[in-house]
Amino acid sequence: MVRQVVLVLLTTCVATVAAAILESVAPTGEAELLMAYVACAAVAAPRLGLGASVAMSVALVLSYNVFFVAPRFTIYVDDPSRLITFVALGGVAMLISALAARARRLALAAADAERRHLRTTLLATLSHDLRTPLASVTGAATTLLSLGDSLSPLDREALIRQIADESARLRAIMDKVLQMSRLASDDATLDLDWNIPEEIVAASLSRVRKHRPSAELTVDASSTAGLVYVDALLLETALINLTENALQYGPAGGPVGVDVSQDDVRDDLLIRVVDCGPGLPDNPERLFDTFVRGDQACSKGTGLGLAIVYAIVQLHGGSVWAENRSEGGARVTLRLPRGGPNRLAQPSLEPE
Amino acid sequence: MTSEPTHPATVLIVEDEPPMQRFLSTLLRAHGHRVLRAESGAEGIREAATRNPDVVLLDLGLPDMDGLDVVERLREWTRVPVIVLSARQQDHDKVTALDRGADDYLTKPFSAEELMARVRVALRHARLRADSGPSVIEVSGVRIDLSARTVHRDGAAVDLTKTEYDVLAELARHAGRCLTHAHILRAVWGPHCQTRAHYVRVQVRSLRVKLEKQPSSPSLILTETGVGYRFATE
Repeated sequence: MVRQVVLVLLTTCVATVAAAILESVAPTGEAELLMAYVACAAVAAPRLGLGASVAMSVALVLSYNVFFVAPRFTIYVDDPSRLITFVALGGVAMLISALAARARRLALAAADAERRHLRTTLLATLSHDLRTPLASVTGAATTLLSLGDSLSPLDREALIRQIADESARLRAIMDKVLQMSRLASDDATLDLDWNIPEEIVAASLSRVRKHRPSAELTVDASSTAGLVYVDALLLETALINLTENALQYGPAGGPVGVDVSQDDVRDDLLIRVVDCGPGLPDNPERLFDTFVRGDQACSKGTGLGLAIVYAIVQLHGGSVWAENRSEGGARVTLRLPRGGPNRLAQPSLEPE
Repeated sequence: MTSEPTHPATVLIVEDEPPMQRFLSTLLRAHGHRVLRAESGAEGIREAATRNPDVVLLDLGLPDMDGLDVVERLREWTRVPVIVLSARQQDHDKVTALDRGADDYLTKPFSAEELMARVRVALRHARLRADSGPSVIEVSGVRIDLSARTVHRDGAAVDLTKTEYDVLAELARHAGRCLTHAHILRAVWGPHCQTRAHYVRVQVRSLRVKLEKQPSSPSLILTETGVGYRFATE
């Protein structure tokens, strides 16, 4: 409220001064002075509410009347036809405000609609991604129950394996959803400590290998020394998601390479995940928007894994981006400040 | 070490969810073990006191008391191996459980293999504690002689600093079990350094460089991210 009043007074003063300067510099006609008033009104309009807009229109007209219409410094007018000018000035100021208000309303509505659309898409995708493996589990289990002995041992084993595999898939999706909601909540806390980057990379790849034993994963961590202040578990999750993503969108068994290096310019750690797949679609920067999939035709799973990576990197005060490599395939780079979000200094490696 | 026969043992399952109970009982009985059941923390403590189990599987989400308190109460009078089963992914619970005296943990959902592996390790350590423990540990080409304080890799002697050796020895003595950073700090540096987990990480890094066939893909000293380290048993 106070801000609006201040803005109205400020606009009126600026308009008055601007018109005064214009008049002294180039004493032409009235049109230029009115332009100065209208221009100031246009600048202020988007920031004013309805009441303030009316007040501004009135203030501008009064100011114009008092300072620029004979007799000056009074609210009286010699020539009654000047009242038409006042109405015009007031009207134009109001019109600008109304248009600005409408534009603001439309923008808010659009943002709201997009948020709603995103939520609908999220629920639809999640519903699909959770129900699909569950359907396999239910189908396999009920088949085993109803057909039991009449199934061949081979069929029986295949169905049982299906239950195990699809349950694992379900777990993976559930973990991602829980992880994302934890990260998105306002009081997401980091369990930060001084960690060895290579160790976290190794642990991540080891976890990926458990589900994909034949995947070709390579690490190059030769050039780093020193510790990094991170939440080890979250960084591990981020790397697992990136590696699995690379395996999914690249050729089935990889190769996927992880490279750890130091950014010499700033005290940052760089971790790159590269694949030899088809590369990224046209807007690599949209890769980290929630639920944007690289290639709709062969997409499996939501883009939640990447959204999680983004959230984790943000929490650490770092950045992540994706780009296509000149030699083919994609590269995702994580940049993390060595000292964590608050850029702490490296600690001693042993008790003194 | 997987070919080692499992001696039939008495396992106490402290778990209130019937499907979980059923799965655990069926699995353990199929491996020749005797199964005792408790559905609450209080009942679990009572059973442990009166029936003398060889290992306890303890769910952290019990109806009457916090599983962590059960661990603490048990440790007041028994060294029976306790494996905690946790549905919560947050590692604070696991670390706290281990620091309060649990021997190992499993996060639900876990597979039958994972459970039996933990049970085997727990039973082995219980047996070793009954004796005086092995003085030589040999895994993956690495030979640690605890009495002579020597370490060999593929027959060649390895030069370790005192701290590196102490960390390695502590891990090896508890082979198969997950040791928290705090545990290792207490054992090697004493009780005053418990918040400096990175001391441990730095030593483990040196050890990996000196002992692992592929330091970037460790198979001897395994990382349990967010919790600690585990020395491999095979």
